[in-house]
Amino acid sequence: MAERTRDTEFTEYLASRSGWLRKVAYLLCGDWHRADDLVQECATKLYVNWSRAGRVENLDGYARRVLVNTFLAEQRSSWWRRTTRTATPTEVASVAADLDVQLDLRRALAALPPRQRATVVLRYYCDLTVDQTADAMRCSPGNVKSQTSRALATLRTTLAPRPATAERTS
Amino acid sequence: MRTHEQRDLTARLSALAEAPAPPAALDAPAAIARGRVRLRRRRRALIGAVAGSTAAVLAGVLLLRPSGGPPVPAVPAPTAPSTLAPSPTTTPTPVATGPLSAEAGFGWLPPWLARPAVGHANSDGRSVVTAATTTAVENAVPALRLELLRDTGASLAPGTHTVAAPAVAGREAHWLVTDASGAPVGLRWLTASGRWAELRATVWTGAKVKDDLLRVAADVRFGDRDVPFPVRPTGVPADLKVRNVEVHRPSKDSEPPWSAMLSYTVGGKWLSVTVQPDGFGVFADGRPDGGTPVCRVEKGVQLCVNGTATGIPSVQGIGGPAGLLTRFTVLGADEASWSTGGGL
Repeated sequence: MAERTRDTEFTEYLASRSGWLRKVAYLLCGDWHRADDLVQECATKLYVNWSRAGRVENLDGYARRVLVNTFLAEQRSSWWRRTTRTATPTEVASVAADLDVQLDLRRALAALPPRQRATVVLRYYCDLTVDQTADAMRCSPGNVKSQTSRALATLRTTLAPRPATAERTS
Repeated sequence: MRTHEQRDLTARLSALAEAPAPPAALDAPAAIARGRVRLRRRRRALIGAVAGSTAAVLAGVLLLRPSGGPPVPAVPAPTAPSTLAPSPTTTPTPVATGPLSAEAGFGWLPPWLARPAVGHANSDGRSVVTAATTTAVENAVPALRLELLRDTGASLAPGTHTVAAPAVAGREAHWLVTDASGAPVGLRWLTASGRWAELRATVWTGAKVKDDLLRVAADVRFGDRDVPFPVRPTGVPADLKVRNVEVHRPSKDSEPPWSAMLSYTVGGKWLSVTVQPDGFGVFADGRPDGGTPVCRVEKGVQLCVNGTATGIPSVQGIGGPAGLLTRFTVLGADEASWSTGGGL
């Protein structure tokens, strides 16, 4: 009975939030298929820790932290398996189909080391504060500030400027 | 207060995240099924840990008894991430396997491979060399992948066929293309040894890529050579069979600047020893059943044992994962100190 309740709650949460998690994952890794893998692994970890997740104040924040740390952990796994898995140019077609601006940003994000990329996504897409970002990435606020500063400096050199009218209105 | 630049970045990120995407592939029932397996494993491990601790306490009590029977060996505590000092080892049994080697190497590389980073791997009898920009490496996408094929017939992967290409060094060559789209994926050419070489690329945008690949192929250097490696195995149990050895050196600016791994199998179980400079977190193997790595740091180099080592009798016989880690001589974090000798 308890297991069924757990499964129902988990499935409902995933149904409502997987789209959002997938977008965050895509910004982290730059590839929709890898994003799906990341969300799948994140979902498994969430299920394993569902009783703990149920006790946290901010379930979305907890899920996002699991996702980010899954992404960062993957960056440290075997280079050989990662390169073998992606040895075919599956991304070429989708890259070609991207709009120039999106391609520009994807390339610029891809040029950032993983932790800097995660910092940019958490701070400027998820709109987290320095402290919240530090909590999500399990590092110090000072580390977030330095990662942010270095990431912005790199993006400044790689991203073409856009007119001010393109600012987000929401 | 956010600057215009930061608001612009937020707008760009939102637009990118909202871009058209392929259908999502999330499988909630699969996540639940895998999650249940992990929960069962966790409960079993917890029960084992409690039983182990109880046995250790009991053994201690028996050893402390004034008129106790024969001493009872202590049960080793469950392993956890730890930094282990090297301990004296018994006489090692050398393993009759060779060092990491390369059958081919790059000569000329195209200018679009900025700051090229090179990786080597010997895996399941294959020798592969990759070259990529540092950026591409961090995204796990090698730009060029070179392999001297074992299969003299040079069979093709499903969904691909060949199209005649200009000769390379005067020998027959073919483009590898996909059946579905006709998009090129690589180049194959016959080498002087009679074996086929294969060069795959993950970057095909730009008209010059084909020309560049032909030039890269023409300048590939063939012939066995040793690849410098940061540790030297000295007495790894002989029943551990080497499955994969790799070393990857992105650049001095990368985090970490290099990493290496040795993977072994025995009787259906596996373990891997991951190696990287200390100070970049724990280099976990990444496979789901990798367990908690057991690590040791020496000369600024971190070595970790991942996998099912605790279930391998020969590894248990030398002190488990901690004992296994003492069977590697660390040469140093500086690549200048690396050796090409020693058995693997």
